Amino acid sequence: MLQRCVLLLGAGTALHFSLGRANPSFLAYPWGVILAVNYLYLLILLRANADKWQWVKRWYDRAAYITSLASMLVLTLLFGLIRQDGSTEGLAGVLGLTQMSSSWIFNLFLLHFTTVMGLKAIDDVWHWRRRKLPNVLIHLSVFIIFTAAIFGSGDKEKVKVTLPLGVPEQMGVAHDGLSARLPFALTLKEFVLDEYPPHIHLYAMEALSPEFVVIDGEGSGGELGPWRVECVGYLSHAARLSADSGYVDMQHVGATTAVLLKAVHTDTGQSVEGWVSCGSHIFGGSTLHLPDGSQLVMPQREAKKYLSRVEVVSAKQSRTFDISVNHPATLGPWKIYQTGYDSARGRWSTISVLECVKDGWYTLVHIAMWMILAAGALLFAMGWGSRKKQKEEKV
Amino acid sequence: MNWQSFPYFAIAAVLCWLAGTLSAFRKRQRGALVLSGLGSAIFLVFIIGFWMVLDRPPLRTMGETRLWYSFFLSVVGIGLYSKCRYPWMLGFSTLMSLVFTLINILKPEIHSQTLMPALQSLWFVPHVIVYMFSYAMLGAATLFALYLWLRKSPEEPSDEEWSVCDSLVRIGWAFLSLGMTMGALWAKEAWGDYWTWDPKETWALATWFSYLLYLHLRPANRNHHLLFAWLTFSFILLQMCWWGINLLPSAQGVSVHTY
Ligand code: HEM
Repeated sequence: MLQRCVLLLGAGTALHFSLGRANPSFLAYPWGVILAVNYLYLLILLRANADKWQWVKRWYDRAAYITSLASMLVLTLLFGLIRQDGSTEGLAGVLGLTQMSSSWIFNLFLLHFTTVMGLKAIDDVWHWRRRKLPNVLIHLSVFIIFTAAIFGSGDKEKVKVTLPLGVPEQMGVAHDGLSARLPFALTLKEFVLDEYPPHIHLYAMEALSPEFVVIDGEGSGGELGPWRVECVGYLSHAARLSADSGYVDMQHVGATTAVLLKAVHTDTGQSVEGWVSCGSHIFGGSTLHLPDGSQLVMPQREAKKYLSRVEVVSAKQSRTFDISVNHPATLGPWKIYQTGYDSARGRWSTISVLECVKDGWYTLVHIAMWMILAAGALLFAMGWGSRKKQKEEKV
Repeated sequence: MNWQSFPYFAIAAVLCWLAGTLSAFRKRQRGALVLSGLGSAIFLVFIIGFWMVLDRPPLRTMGETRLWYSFFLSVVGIGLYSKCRYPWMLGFSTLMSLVFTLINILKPEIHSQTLMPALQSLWFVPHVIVYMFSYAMLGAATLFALYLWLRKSPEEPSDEEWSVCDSLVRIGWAFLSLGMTMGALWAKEAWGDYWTWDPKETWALATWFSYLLYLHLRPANRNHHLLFAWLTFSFILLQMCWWGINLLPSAQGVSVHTY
């Protein structure tokens, strides 16, 4: 076992010195699938002949799986402990462990682990016993996921597209930084941003208080440090025409949120009133200076929800989707994700940033993951005292 | 209901848990279960009320996750006690819940947080609750293992005790797997990647491997020194994953999970 680990370590190091970082592009479709099918066939072949070839058994016996698990634990710990900045300094850098997920050492051990587990999973299915259903499910599903992760790693297509309002776009930037052409064209029809109500913080000693009060209309307010803050005027679409005037209601591009606040000192009763606004890319912001030197400030309002209405036109069809975070659009093997917008303009953003991801392994991995969920639930349901039951059955 | 009213609920719940533990040591089993259950119920009422007032699940800040942890620990303690009738099990879970409740009273992280769009997902609640439940199970497993390990006599755990310990680890590990898988499904839905080797994910995987190793070592092994040391080590990894990475130099500024 130790020999096997030393061998893997040596091979990984040698590959790292001769090839540099592991680049999975050689696994791009169709090669990843072809290799995966052959790999699976090889494992089944090995297991089928395990009685003839005794050495195969040594590949998934107890010593093998304990070692493979332990080696993965050690590597994952190193992964967590070594800063992943891709530096080439120090021993870790020289061995490529500062970018663990593309290091040969890590990936060879992962392949070894997956192989041991694969043999075990096939063996499980061979000796099917209902009582062990959760174990079989787990070995099998984790095996599928790791296999897909290894052989599918060259298939990832992720294209970032920045869409200006109303202009069709078919080009984007792939994850390697090169420009990429999509098999469909995207047009941003509408961008909608919902924001949380403004938060007012106290700014004192060059730091923003972690506490804040939420201002969602006239009369709202609360206490911040020694100050009682109350909103006496609320403009959701406000503009300020000069730096020392107040804010006026204005439905104009770039209109910002402005609140007229009254602050009363809870001990002295001292009181101040003035406008506070986060400003926008067009109109300036404003803070309220308090007599004790602190200020009331409104940071940029946080986005609650943002949504792009996008028309997708491919050779076959034309469809309109509402895409928001956690709600990607699906188009064949492609999924289109909402990732960003022009945050300096906030609700007035006229661009939307989307990411198109093609993942041919999606269904397989999803099935395997739902198998884990099922296995986890089963393990929970059967978990208590199962060992006792096993013993009783043996007796 | 908010952090200002938390101490009242917390004190009421803790008093019930203490009374329950006391009854357990006096061999009043029914009373122990009822009182401890009442304590957990009071705690749950606060959590649900807090949820409604916040208008979002209270799972966003460390303080909020500690609420769930205290609650689940008490529930796990009651479950264990009703199975095995060891009074000290209630005692331990009460003590642990008490510690986490005290942290929340003495160092409340009351500044509220908004839910950014990525967190607004059906997966958010099950993902975090499943993890908290798992942490409670594995915390109980660790305490149990330490008790079996450090007590004077008998030296060797009985079959019954092994079975309790293994069940705790197995269920805790099953929930780790559930939490991790839900996280991966969620990440795919939100960002298009199942797994990005974010430090929190890396440490979660290390924790998962470590408990998995225990589960695989156990069947052919009764060396309780090794196994209990292993459980303790695994629990340290779990702590790294839960809050340790907030302090870890190799994770600074790169994790989306630091809070
Ligand atoms: C990610 C990888 C793995 C997972 C998630 C996994 C999961 C499990 C689980 C949950 C059990 C039941 C343990 C119990 O409840 O006592 C189990 C048992 C077992 N696993 Fe794995 N396993 C993994 C890898 C492996 C590997 C690589 C092997 C290699 C051969 C293996 C061999 C076994 C065996 C022989 C048992 C039966 C132990 C017993 O007697 O209960 N496992 N596995």
